[in-house]
Amino acid sequence: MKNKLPVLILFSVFLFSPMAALAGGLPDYSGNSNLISSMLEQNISIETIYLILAIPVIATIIAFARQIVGFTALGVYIPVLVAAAFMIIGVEYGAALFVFVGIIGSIGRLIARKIRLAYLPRMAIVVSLVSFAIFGFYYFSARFDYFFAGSLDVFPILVMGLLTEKFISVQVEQGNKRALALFLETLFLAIVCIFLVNWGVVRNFILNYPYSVLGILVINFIIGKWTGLRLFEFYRFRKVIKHVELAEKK
Amino acid sequence: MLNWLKKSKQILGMNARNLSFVRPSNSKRKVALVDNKLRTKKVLEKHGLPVSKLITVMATRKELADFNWTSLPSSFVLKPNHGLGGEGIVVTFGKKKNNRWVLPNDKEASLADIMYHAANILDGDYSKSDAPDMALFEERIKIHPAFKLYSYKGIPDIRVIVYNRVPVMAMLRLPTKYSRGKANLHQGGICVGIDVSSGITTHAIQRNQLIEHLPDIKLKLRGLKIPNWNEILELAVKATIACGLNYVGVDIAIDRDKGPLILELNAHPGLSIQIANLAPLKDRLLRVQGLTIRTAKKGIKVAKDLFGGEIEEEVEGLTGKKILGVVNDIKIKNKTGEWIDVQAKLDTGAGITAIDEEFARQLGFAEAIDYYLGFNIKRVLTKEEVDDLSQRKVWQELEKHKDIVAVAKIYSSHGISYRMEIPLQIELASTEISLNATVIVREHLKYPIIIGRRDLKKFLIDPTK
Repeated sequence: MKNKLPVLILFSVFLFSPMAALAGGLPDYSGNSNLISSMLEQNISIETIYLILAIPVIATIIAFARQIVGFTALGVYIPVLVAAAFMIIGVEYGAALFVFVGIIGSIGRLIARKIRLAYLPRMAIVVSLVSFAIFGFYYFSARFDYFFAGSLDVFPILVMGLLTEKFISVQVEQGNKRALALFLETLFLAIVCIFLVNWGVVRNFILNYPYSVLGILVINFIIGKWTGLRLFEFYRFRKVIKHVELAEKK
Repeated sequence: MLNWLKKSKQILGMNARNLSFVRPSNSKRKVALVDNKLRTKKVLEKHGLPVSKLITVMATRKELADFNWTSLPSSFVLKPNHGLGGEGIVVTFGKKKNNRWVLPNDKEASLADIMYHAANILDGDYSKSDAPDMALFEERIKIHPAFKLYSYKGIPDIRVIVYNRVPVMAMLRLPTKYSRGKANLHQGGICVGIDVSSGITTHAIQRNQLIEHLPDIKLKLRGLKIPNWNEILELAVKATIACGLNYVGVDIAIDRDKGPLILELNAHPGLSIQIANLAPLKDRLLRVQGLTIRTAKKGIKVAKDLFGGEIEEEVEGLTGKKILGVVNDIKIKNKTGEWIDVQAKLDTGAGITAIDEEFARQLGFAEAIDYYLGFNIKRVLTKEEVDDLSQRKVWQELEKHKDIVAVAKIYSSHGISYRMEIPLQIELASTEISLNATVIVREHLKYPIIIGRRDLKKFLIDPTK
């Protein structure tokens, strides 16, 4: 019991303080923070500032989802990068690109497996295929004006390449089913992160009180000490729990 | 709900496994040792522990090219040195006339296929973060007859979780059609919990679902006795001592000819073993934590005392009958109403309970015994003599004494005896029983009373107990 109380307090602070900020009627960045204001004066875009500040928050959500809820996803870093990429290109196109890259990567792997090649060149072929596919994706969407024609950001493309490599190495190491599950979990977590981080309340709070992001270190410290069952484990072990016999008090 | 939460605290989750057990128990160096199958094998061999035989090791492409491939036997196992969860393992079952090896699922592999797979292993296809790896060729283990029906083209293995030198939980892993001859759990293999004290299987799971029978052939998975059980437990504990780990899963297979062999050690053993045993692991770990255990024997004894008996409880639950050993401490009420402690033998070969004459005297039946002796009946009689006694209705005379409730004719290999029966009150396994016992001279025997079938209807007898 004694290590649960601080967790509860911290989480309620974490969750309710943005709401309190909202209740106080906080508009979009209100010039509350000297730090942010001075950065804006130097022509750094507010989107860039927020992206950087949001990454620790995203990482913490992922850590929470893994340690306390029980998601596995493809590590911590990949979902964080994917979420950041989604922030840049928007969640709808991001998700579409994500699924597209996954499909192309898997097809590429199947083809490359047929021709006997050493591991690294084979992987290079797969990553190239993904690159070509993204190229086509951008070309057609620009051509038909589906979305931001022209703004071809390098970062999301690199992230998708990284994702493909990780996805395929998990396919080889842990089997296709498991890889697909991890892939979808990653997508799901990235979307959840985006919705949280793009939520006006959270965004305003972080921009107006940028130092609050430091509080995340404390939260992660607590998450890292948590030894209780993960949420999913309650389900996984439900039959065992039913069979547990409690020692009778004498 | 509160009770449910309390119960869930005894389950070992991933967080607790890593933070509370794996990390404090296993040093990084030792984890690296068991992650390396080749080094582990060498350490185990140095400690005189049995391992599967290595055919060859390849670390570089040059070694792969230089290897005399024709010397490869018709049946072998090819595995990556740093493999994870059984991926990258190829098992061959024999060689066909066309020089191709037989794989599970009726597939075949040519020499080129095998070499390509070995090359992929060297490239790090199956190792953590794609680091270059070594390829190990091992002799294939021959399946033990006890498992033949239970496994589909592969060798079952036994996972024993050892903590603080105590084998706390165990399971049997059976390869199935879906696991492609491998016994790893997440690949569709079947996992059967094992009662630590008896080595008898309890519950079974496949893909985290409880099952009763082997799919397809409907063979019951419960109640299978694992051969060489004590040896397996001992090997598991000794392997952890040899490798210097304090919380580890030891995988052991049983070879038809060589007996139990250690396959590998796993510093992060999975948690599904709890489902296969329907028992919480954390509770067991906490009970073993902090004990000083020096030898494997002691660790096994602790495990058997603490965690055994699940099968027994289940049988008792099913039949409503208590399981007893052959010799039991019982209490007998003497004629003045005091309870006397004595050792009794439960004898399912005898129909009626028998008590020693001298002991019956001590209990207060001296008068009845003297009355019986007054009839001068021989201890051993022939058939004709007994018929004569029956015809003369001697039993009616005998039963006139208030302590003689019946007369029994007892047939044994020595001949026939004509015995008096006296009423007794005994307490066996905390149940009070009223019974009639025949009185006979048992002075040369170890136990003054044997309890026969007629009075054992409420019990099951386990001669190994």
